[in-house]
Amino acid sequence: MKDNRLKGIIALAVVTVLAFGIIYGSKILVKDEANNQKDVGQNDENLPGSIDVSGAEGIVSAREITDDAGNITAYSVVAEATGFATKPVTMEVVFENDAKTIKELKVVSHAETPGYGQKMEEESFLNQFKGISAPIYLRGKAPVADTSNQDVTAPTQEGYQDGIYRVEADEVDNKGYLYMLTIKVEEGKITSLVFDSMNREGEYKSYLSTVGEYVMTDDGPTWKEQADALANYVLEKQSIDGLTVDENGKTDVVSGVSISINNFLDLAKKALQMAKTGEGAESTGSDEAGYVDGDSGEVGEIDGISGATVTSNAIIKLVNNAYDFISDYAK
Amino acid sequence: MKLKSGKQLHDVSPHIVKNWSTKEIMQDVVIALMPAFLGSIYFFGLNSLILVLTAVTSCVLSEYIWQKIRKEQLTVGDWSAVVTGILLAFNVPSTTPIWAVMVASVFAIIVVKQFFGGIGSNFANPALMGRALLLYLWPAQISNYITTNHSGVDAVSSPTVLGMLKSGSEISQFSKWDMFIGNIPGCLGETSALLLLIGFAYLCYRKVVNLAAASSYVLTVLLVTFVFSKDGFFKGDILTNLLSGGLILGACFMMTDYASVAPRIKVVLAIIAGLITAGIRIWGMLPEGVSYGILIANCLSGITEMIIKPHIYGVKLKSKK
Repeated sequence: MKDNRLKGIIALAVVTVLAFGIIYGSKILVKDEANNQKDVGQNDENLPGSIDVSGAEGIVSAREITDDAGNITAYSVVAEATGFATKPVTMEVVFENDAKTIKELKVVSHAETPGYGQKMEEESFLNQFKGISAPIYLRGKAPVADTSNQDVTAPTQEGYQDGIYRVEADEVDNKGYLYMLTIKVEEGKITSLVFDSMNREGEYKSYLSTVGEYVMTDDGPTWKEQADALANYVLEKQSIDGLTVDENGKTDVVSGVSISINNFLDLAKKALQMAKTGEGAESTGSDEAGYVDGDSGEVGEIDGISGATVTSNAIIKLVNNAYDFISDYAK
Repeated sequence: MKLKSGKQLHDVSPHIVKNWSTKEIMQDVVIALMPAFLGSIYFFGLNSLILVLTAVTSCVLSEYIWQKIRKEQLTVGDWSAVVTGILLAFNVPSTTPIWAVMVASVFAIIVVKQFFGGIGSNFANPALMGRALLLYLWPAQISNYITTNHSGVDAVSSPTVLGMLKSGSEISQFSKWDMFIGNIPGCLGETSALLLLIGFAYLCYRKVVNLAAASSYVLTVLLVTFVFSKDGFFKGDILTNLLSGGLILGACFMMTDYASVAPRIKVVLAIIAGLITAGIRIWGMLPEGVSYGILIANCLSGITEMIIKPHIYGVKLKSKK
C-alpha cells in the first residue's frame, strides 16, 4: 500500500517536472518563432490569412479571418494613429467580409491621458462602432461639403446662424498644447467666446495660468486674462476685423495682450466661417439637435470622447485608414 | 470506512470501494492537485499561493473551531477540509480579494458541510457552493480574470476564452496549445489541462476516482456542445470546450468528490451534470456552467437514487432475454 503510494508520488513528481519542462520549452519556442517572424519582415507572413501591409501608412498588420471552408468571414486590421501622447494609439478594427461594416473595435495599446483619451477603453465608446459602416465621422462632422480647402475669409458682417461652434487646432503646438475655441451665437449675435488650450495631461492653460503654473511675465496679465481680452474684443466687434498682427504674431489692437495671437485668429476665422453658414452647429438648447443623422447606414457617426477631441480624431483617422486599406485590398 | 474510534461514518464517494481511510484518500487528492497548484503559481504568480493558503487555513480552522464548539468528534485531521480549501481557491481568479476567499471557506465548511452532518453527509460539493456564494454576493470581485505571466509581458485583465466565445469575440489569440498547457486567463487551478490530467492519472493509479463518472461527464458536455453549437448543428468547437474552461478540473476533482452515491448512479449524475453544463454554455448567460452543472447534479442525487435502484451486492442482475 505504502509502496504503491510512494511509487505513485515519485511518478507524479517526475511527470510534473517534465510537464513544466514542456510548458517552459514551448515558451522559448514561441519566442523564437516570434523573432523569426520579425526577421522575415514586418508582416506576419507565417500567420494564416495575413495580408501584406508594407507601404500602407498607419497600418500595422492585417489578416483575413476565414471559416473552416476557407471563406472569408471578416477582416482584421491593426492600425495606429498619433493622438495626444507621443506613443500612437493602436487598435484592431474587425470588418465584416464586405470590408466596410465594422464588426468590432478593440484597443491594442495607447498612452492617452487618464480621464480623457483613456476613456476610449470604455465599452460604451467602443460599442458605438459595432455595425456601422466606414468611413466614420465624429458626430456632427459628417461632410456636407469639404470646407477645409475653401478660402477662409474673415466675416465682414453680422448675420451668424444660431448655435455653438467648436473648433480645434489641427495639431498640438511645439510646447504640447492644443488650442481650441468655442463660440456661441444667439439671435444672430456672438454671445460668448472661449479660447483655451490643453496640454497632454488634460490641464487647461487658463487654469494653469490662474494658479501660477503657467507664467509668462511676473507682473503682466496672465494668459487667461489675455485670452479673455481677445474674446471680449470679438464680442464687442462681433468679428475679428481690425485685429491686425505684426510678423511675430503680436497685436497692438487689444491692450494688455502680448501673446502671439495667430492661433487665436486661425481658430476664430474658422469658427466665424462656420457660424456664417451654420454648418457644424450644435444646438444652444438641447444637446442632440444639429448633427447629421446617419440613417440608412450610409454615414457612420460616433460620439467622440468628451474632452479628448484629439484622441477621438486619432481614432477616427485610424479606423478610416484601416477602412481605406482593407477596401482597397478587398476590391 | 472507519475512523480511529471505530465509529462508522457515511460513505464517501467517488471513491471506489476501499479499505483504507478517508485521510489517505484525501491526502492522495491533495497530492494529485499539487501539479496544478504549482502551475497556478507559475501562471498567475504569488497571489495564487496566498489565495490557496488562505482558503486551506480558513477551511481547516473553521472545521476545527466548529467541532470544538459543538463538542463533536474532531475529523479535522482527515484532510478533507484541505481539499475543500484548495478546490475553492482553484475556482476563483487570482485577483480575488483574500477576504472573499475567507468568507467562502467558512461558508463552505460550516454551512454546506457541517450543518448537514460533516464529511460524507453534505448535499453538495462545499468548494463549489463556496464559489457559488461568491458569484452571488460579489460577482464583480471574482470575475476579474487576467492573462498569465507565461508570455513574459505584464498581466492584463482579459475575459476567459469561454467568456469571449459567449460574447462572440475572436479567440484566435489563444492557440489550442496555450489552452492545453494553461496559458489562458481563468481561475487559478482550471487553466492547465496538462497538469490537471497528470494529477488525475495519479488518482487513477491509486484507484481513488471513478473514471467512468469523470469521463461520462466530459463526453456529455463535449457531445452536446458539439451538436448544438452557436454556429449550427454539429459545428461546436470540441477542443476549446474541453480545454478552455473548468471542465477538466470539474470532471477530475469535483464531479467525483463527495456527496454522491453508488458508482452506477454516479455515472447517471455525471451525465445530468454534463447536460446542465452544456446547456448553460450554449443557451445560458454564463460562459462556464461547470460549477452549476455539478451542484445541480449533487442536489439531484437523492432522487436519482430513488429512481434507479442500486444493485444489491451479492444478487445477480436479471438478464434481459
